[in-house]
Formats: sequence, C-alpha cells, structure tokens
Amino acid sequence: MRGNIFDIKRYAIHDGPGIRTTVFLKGCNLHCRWCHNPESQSLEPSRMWQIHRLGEKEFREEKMVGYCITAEELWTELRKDQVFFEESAGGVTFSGGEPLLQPDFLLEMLKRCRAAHFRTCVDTAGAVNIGGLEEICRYTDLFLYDIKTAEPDTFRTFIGEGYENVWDNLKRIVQHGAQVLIRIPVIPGVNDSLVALSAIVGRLKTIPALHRIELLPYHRTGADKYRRLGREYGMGETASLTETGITGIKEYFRENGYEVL
Amino acid sequence: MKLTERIQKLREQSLNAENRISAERALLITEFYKSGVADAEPVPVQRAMAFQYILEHKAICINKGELIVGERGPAPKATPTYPEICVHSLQDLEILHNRKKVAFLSDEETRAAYRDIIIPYWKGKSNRDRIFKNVTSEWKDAYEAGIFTEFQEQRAPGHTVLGMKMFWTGLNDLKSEIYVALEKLDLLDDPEGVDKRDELRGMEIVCDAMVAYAERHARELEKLAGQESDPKRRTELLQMAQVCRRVPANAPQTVQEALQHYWFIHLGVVTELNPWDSFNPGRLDQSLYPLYKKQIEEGSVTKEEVYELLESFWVKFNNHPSPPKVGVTAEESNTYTDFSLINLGGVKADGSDGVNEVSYMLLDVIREMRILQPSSMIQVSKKNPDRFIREAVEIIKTGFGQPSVFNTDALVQEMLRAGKSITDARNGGCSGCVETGAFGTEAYILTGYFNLPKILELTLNDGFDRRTGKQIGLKTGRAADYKTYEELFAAYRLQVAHFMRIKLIGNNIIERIFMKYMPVPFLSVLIEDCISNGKDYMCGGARYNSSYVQGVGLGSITDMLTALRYHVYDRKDVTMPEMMEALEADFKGYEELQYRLVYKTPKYGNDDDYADRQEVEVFDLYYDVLNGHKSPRGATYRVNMLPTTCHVYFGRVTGATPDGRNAGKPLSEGISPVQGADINGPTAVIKSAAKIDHIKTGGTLLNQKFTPSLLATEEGAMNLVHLVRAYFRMDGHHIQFNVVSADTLRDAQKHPEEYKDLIVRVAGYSDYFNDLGEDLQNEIICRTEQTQL
Repeated sequence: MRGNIFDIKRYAIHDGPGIRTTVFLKGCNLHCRWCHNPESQSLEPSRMWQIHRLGEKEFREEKMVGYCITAEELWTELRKDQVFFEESAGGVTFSGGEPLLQPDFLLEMLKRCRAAHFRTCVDTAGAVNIGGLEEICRYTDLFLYDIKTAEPDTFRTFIGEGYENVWDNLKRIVQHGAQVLIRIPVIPGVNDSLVALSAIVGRLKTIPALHRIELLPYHRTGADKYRRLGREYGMGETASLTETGITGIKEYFRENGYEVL
Repeated sequence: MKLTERIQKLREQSLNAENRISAERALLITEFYKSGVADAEPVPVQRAMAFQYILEHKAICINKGELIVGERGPAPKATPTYPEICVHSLQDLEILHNRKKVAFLSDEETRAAYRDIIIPYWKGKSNRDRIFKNVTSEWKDAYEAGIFTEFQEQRAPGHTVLGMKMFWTGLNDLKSEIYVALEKLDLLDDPEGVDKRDELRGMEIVCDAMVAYAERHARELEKLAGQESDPKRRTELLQMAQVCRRVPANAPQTVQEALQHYWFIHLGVVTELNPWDSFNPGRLDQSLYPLYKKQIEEGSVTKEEVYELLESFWVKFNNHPSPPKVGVTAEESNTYTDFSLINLGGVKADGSDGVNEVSYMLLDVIREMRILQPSSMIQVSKKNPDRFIREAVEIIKTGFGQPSVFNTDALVQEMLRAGKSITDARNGGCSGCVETGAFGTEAYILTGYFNLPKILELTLNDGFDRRTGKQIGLKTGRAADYKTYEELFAAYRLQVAHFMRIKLIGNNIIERIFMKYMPVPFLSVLIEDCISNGKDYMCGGARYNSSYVQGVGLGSITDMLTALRYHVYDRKDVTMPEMMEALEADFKGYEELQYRLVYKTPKYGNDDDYADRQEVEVFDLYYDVLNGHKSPRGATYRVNMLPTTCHVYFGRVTGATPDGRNAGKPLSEGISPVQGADINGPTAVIKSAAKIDHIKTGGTLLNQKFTPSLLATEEGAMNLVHLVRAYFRMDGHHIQFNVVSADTLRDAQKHPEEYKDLIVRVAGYSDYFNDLGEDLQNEIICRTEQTQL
C-alpha cells in the first residue's frame, strides 16, 4: 500500500503529548487563506524554490515537494524514534494536508502503530465525507480536531466546502468515544470577533463531551512558502499574533467552561 | 533560597578579582632547591620536603566574611606557577599580561623575580625541557603538524577525584596506614623495597606538612578574632580556628569540617603540582549527606547555615583560574576553567537511588551562585526520580550550561568492563569534561588529543603534510590510487595506527620522566592503595590505572569518509582527482561541488545509516588501535571522545576536507555532528550518537544546543527529561545542553560589554562567552539550533 506525503518530522513536540514523529500527508480539500503549509494542498508534488547559503554565495534550486511512499517505507521511518515515544508517552501524529483524504493508507499506518504500542494522533479539519471513520477512531488515541469557524459563510469564503461535514464528523468521533482536542487557529478578521467566538462556543456546546481547547495564534510563517511556490499570500500584510495577544480569547473560552491549553 | 548578603559579597569579590601571576610558589621552590638541604635525599622525599617548605612559608590568606578558608596563592585569583614543570619566559608573562582574553597581570616585582631568580635557576631543567629533549623526532614532526597534542607538556598528570572515603578519614588515620605499610616492608628480598620506603617517608612528611599548614590557618584565625569588633564574626572566626585544628588531621564530624577538610586537601593537591584537571570533591551530595542528616537531627546546624557553608565553599573554586600556559599556547589557550566537576545523584555503593536532600540543595546552590567554577553535573541512573532531572532542567534552561547530564548505569558498566569492582564503580563518576573514573581509587590520565580528520588528509596525500611540508605519514598511496572505498579505509587504518604508535611511544617516554622526577606523595596518600602498595600515584600506586588518548572530530571524519564513499565510489559523480583539486583550491572555483558536499550528501547526526556506518567504522578502528595498550606505570589505555576546545586548533591545521569544510575551520566537537549538519532534530542526533558502543569508552561528549523557546513550557522541559532518558536507555554516556538563541550570541559578539555574565557551554565545560576566541564564538553560534519551524 502507498500513500502521498510531503514531510516526516521527528521531535515534533507541538502535535500532541510527548515526543512525536509527525507524518504530513499530502493533499487537502480546503484552501484556508492562512494555511502555513500551502505546499500540502495539492495531491500532486508541488514545485518549490529553495535557497541555500554557503558563505557569501546563494544556491537556488527547484525542489519537488511531496512523494509517494509505501507503508513499509514509512513504517521504517516511524520506528526510528520508538525509544523516545516510550520514554515520553509520545507517538505518531498524522497531519497534513488532510489525512482523512487517504483513509486506507492512514488506517494501515494506524494499525501498525497500535500493534507496536505507539500512541497515535490524527490532526484533521474533518471537512470530508468518508465511510470508514469509525474504524479510524478505533485506532486513534487522540484527534487534534481543527475548528476554524462556526459560521457557514465565513467557512465558504476563507476555507472551502464541507462545513457541515466538520461538525458531523466531530459528533461521530465523540460518539465513538475517541479523545478529542479541539484546536482553533485564531485568525485576525476571520474568527477573532466576539460574534465569531460566541458562534464557535455555541456550536461546541451542542457536543457535551468536549472539554479541552488549544488556541493557535495566527503566524506569518507561511508567507515565505507562498513566495517560493510562486503563489500569492492571501493574508496580505496581516501581522502575526502572539501568545499574549490572545489571552483575552483564551479567557473567553475559559469562562465558557473549557480547559484551554 | 536567596543568597545572603555575606555570600553576595564573597561572590562579587570573586567575580571582580583580577587574575594575577603570583611568583610566591616559584620563589619558594627555587629557594628550597637552591638551599641544597634535600640534595642527598631520594626524589620522593625531596618533593615532599619541597611541599613542606612551600606550606610552611606561603602567605596565609583569609578573606573577609568567608566561612571556608585557604587560597592557592596569596590572594584570590593570584595564581602560582610551577617552574619545575615549565618555566614562563618574560615574553610569556608579557603576553599573559596583555592578552585580551583571560589576562594574567604581573607586576614589576614578579617580573624581576622571574628575570633574576626563577628563570636562571630552572631554565633547561624543567620537566618540559626533559620532555622535548627525550621524545623522538617523528613525535615532534607529528606534534608540530597537529596530529596530536600533549597534556603533560605543561601540566602534571592528575585528573583524579577524591573518593568518599576521604571525607570520613583524617590525615592522622592515613599516617597510621603509612606506618603499617612501613612495618610490612621487605627491605631484604623485595627489589622495590627501598623505593617503597622512600615513597612512604615522603608520604609521612606531606601529611605532617598539611596538618601544620591547617594549624597556621587556625592561628591566623585566632589573631583575626582578637582584632574583630563584631562579636558574631569573632565567634565565627574562633569556631573556624577550631575546625582548622580538627581537619584535615581528623575525620570531619560536621558539614563545615567536611568542606574545610576537602578544601585543605584540594589546596595540597594544587600546590604540590599543577595537575590536569585541578582536583575534585566528586560525589559531594553522597559525602556530605550522613553528616548533614546527623547534624539536622541533633539540631546542631540549620538548613540555612548549610546553604551558606556550601556557597562559601563554591566561591573558593571560583577564586582559582586555571594556571596560565607558556609558549604559543599562552597566546592561544585562554581557558579560565580548571575543571572541578561536582557530581550529584547517581547510585549508592549498594546500587540504590543516591539522590538525597543535599543533592537538591546543591542544585539550589548551583542555580543561585551562577559562577563558572566549580562546574557541576548530575548523574542519572534509571533508579533516580524524574524530579531530579526536571529540577536540573530548571537550571539548564536558564542558559547557564550547567549541570551537564551523565548516565550512571553506563558509567558503571564502563568501569566494570575495565575491571573495577562493583562498589568502586558505583562510587565513581565523571571528572574534567566527561571522563569516567573510580573516585579515590583510580589514576586515569589523559595524555592528549588525537586529530582523526587530519589523518585522512594525510592518507589522501601519501602521508605528506602540505602545511609543514614534511613526509610524516606512511606512504600508502595517493588519493587516486585507492580504487575502492575499502582500499581507502584500509590505508586510513594504517595511518591511524602509525600515528597512534608514535603518540604512545612518546607517552611512554614522558610517563617515565614523571615517574622518575615528579612523584606526588600528597596526591598519593589520598588515592587508595598507593600507601599499601608503597607506590606513588605517578608510578602505578593506585588501585586502578588507566590512560587515555582523546579522539577528536568523529563527526567530521564520518562526514569526510561518507562524502568520498557517496560521491567518488558509490555514485561516481565526482572523480577523486576532481575532489583533490577542489580541496587544494580550498573550493575556490569549486563552489558548486562544495554546495553538493554540504547540502546533497548524507551526514552524521541524522540517524542515517549510510553516514553512521562510517561513524561506527572509525570508532571501532580507533578502539582497535588504542584500547588495551600498556603504559610504563602499568596502566591500560582506553578510548574516549572529547575535544575540550582542541577541535578549533585541530581545524586550524587541517586543510579543506571532503565534507565541504573550508581549510582552517573548526572540526566537529566530541561526538556531536558537524556544526549545522544535523537537520532532523535532536532525536536523530541522539540515535546517531548512540550507534557507537559507549560502554567500550571512558567518556563521550554530546552537545545539543536548544533555544529557550523549546523549554519554556512544562511539557517542553519534560521532553528534555525524556530525551535524556531515551539516550541513556541506548547507553549514551553524556549529554549537555546549551540553551541560548543564536541572535543573543551574535549580539553578544557585537556588544560584549553587555554580556559579561553570559556563560555558555563550550565542550565539556562552560566558559564566559566573552573570553572565547572569535572562531570558537562563531562555532558556538553555528551549532545547530533545534528550533521548531
């Protein structure tokens, strides 16, 4: 079995508990304007410029981002950090792109992880209509579930199609009893108004089992990648947010009974 | 635990004191030898009498407010010299006085003493003169080419640590042991009987000399008490006088006595000679705990008082910069640190968890004091709690560079493999940078660094050194002659063995010189079995004897061999002649090739077996050519992998290398990857580093730089704990963390005045960033930062 990925990152310590290896699956059905991994969006390899420096000299080369990998090859990579997973109660995170767009490959890797006692996270936006979600739930220890907005129009304008799938899938996952951490990217002008936030809280409240939220402040790290991909950056000059810049929003969620990481 | 006003003052005093050359010791020893009183005595007795003479006449220095007394020179940072080992020329004094980094001032009086008395007497008969007169010409050629360095050329072998037993033993007890040994001597049939008698006589003299030296402090303290107007301090001074009468003659009964006891012993060791590394109290938390516990239980001391005592003790180490060097190294080597490495944690003699209350108190002291010396480390056994490491991470993450982290379970295995008893192994630890030793029972002597990458350069040039213009290696062929990688490596193996042979023969010659002319009866009484064997520390008297040649540049040599294997032999996209042209041109006009070598070639430090295969191959080769050789004193050679700062010097003498490194740039340090070559994060570095068999070494050094941001959260800090545990599960020996941002360091280079307190981990130790040479500063900046993008 084969899958399309564009990166494997070791010592990923921000994608779930402990020390993790994160696999970035390639291809996404959404096109969030602030996406900081724009090279992840197309299913095919993307051309990207890369610049290396050697003293005064600069070397510019074109690099293809994304490749096909067999389950066995990927497994060889994942196993490399087993000792770190064990020591830190970490494991493997499948991110993207949208990992649920390659459900068979994802499931195969999740099963291998389970057999080796690696704990798994799936980082998804959930905006897809897939059949085997319950099976994936069985082999996933924690979902990092992106909620970007609870306003359908905003979703359509800034993100793409599949708004209702986001909430349906979240409900299915919770009903299945899987652990979920809601992750909300805080994007200036998109979801940081009181109206937008209260809409999110309102919708989240309809799913009682959810308690934990992580807020991800908007960051311009993607801007350079758009340039290197020859694409325009949809966020213009919007400045990065800092942790302290979102304390008010954190507080808002706390007041509404959520544990905010 | 905030520092008290007293400690703050002592700390400031120590930080503000200027390094000076003190001619006191040099003058005293010259006077002694000139007097001729010991001319008829055997060498150990002569040396013991010289020691006694110095201790009888050197000035007693008691600093205001301090609780632990005794200085190596007449004042803090007044640094004695050792003309019997090496003599500073007037030009050396001039250089030391004026050099920008870690200057040692000398006044007119000192220079006059050197000009008129010290130099005329010692010139031509110091140990350094003996060494250079006796080594072979091939040794000199290799030494000048930068193939290896020589530790004993300017400093004495020492490199040992006080065992716990000495914290519970007085010098009077040792004297009884000396008498027993004298009684048992067989002067009739033991061919070494007379030598043993001479040595034991020397030992007896030094014990008395040290007790008398402590008594001089007691009297001075009483005198000061008489003049003291503050009744509280008066009581303190009188009590300190009492302490100096009890120790080191008798076994310490209180924490204060134990610290003063050690400190007198330390002064004795560094007054007798200038050993590498100075001296070290070793497992301080283990040694102090029984006394601490007893005193707390009986209410004879408070925790606050113990903190003050420990902190006053800490300042003493910082008052002692490393003795300044002579010759070219006076200009180049500006290390302040004299390598006292205090061990915390680990296991007890019975193998159980050794972490105790004093371990945590000492972590507090390290955090609050924030001074270079003593250096500190934690030993981490699988039996120690995570909390212990976590507390250490709190200090590490402030960017102080201490404590470094060691794997007790690996150390114990290393020592068992080398033939130590399980108890001696568990009572051991590491000293210097990362060197494994059985504390109080072993003489483990480092003899010099060994330039592994330079030898590949010679292998590619038929044994010819282009820099010195000499044929110093074997004629194994020119680069293009090696048709396969295996042929190349076989030639490299021959060259490494060739230079190791030269180095070890040199070592034998030098060791003989020390055995004959430089016995150290005082150090010998401290290290177990020297007394019962009637043999000096220098002569194999210790229970265990080991010698090391420290391999340098494992990351560089791995990447060099990997680049050749990958491009020349496997992919054949570069020919050997093309490679050699590029190296000779230092990549000028070959930038495209250099780019491929740097960016498009497998590198060590990424958990990539293609590259790491060469790592293991080189390590095994180094082990094969060195491990198991015997030295004249009966020591066994072992390998270790650490550079201190020598990778900078070795880089300077090495031309451009096939890994894309320009000529003269530093080599990789310890077993860390080449600066900037590790791009897969710390777990990959650790996996690569763990591929060699650490248990077969006596120490490896792995440096990881972290930016503070990675450790800011509780989770981030705990992940560091997990990284340590994982590395140690794979038998990793040591890991240390430099927590600082590259921008901070760059700014520090531009504005040194604003960063006077900036301490960074250099290699096996920490140093003031401002005191480092610019190349070393640059290297630290470019060491890979494990930042998350």
